[in-house]
Amino acid sequence: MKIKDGFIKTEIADKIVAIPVGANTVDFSGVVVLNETAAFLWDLMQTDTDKQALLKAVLSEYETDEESALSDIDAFLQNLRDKDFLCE
Amino acid sequence: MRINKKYEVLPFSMQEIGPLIKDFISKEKQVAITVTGNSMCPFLKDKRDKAVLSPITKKPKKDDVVLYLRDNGTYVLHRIFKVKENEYIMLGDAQVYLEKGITDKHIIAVATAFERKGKQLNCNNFLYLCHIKLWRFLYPFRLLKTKSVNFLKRIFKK
Repeated sequence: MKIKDGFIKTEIADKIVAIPVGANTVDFSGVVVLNETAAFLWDLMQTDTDKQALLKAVLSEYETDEESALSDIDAFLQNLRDKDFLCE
Repeated sequence: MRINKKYEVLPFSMQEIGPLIKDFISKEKQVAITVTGNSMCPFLKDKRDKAVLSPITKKPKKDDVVLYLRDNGTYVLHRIFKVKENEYIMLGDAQVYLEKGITDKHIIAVATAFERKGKQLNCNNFLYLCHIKLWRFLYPFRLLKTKSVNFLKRIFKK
């Protein structure tokens, strides 16, 4: 699974954001704000990956236990699915 | 560790996204924005409506809604009230006092479509054109009302 193509990750007002970019239109009305960890996952998901690889990366990058990391990753992935941002 | 539980979609202020818009427009991209501020009320309302901005391909004309950058660095989305030889006279739909001194160098993009109350609206939409004409017709009355109110306020303050 990976994030669908068509987003530019940048910073606006000190916030990390992903802006949907179509062939001709940049949609600032659909800007997605990511916190540091979400941005970390977002970067990992620019190429095809899976949940286990995400979990491994999160556990090696952040001080957290497996259960809460998995729960947060699941919530994050669900949000991506809800928004139809995920390519599975 | 905290990952965003929900996507947060914020309508950033024009000042925050202005430089990025300018950059994309210069690359010939169209840009859709959520309107922030109420200076274009009642047509466009804060955080409710959207505008699609396009690169300038021909000289903007009267009644066009344009994004421009003032000399003081503020980005503004207002309507052209009048086109003069060397400048544009600008007026937000909610405003009564004209802004002078805007020239081609200030104008970044022109609005080519809107989303109002969730409905798509093209700039050649009949009802949209009627709205512009009506609002323009009402301008002297809106100005008179504002001046009268201000005058009365001054009197009663004394």
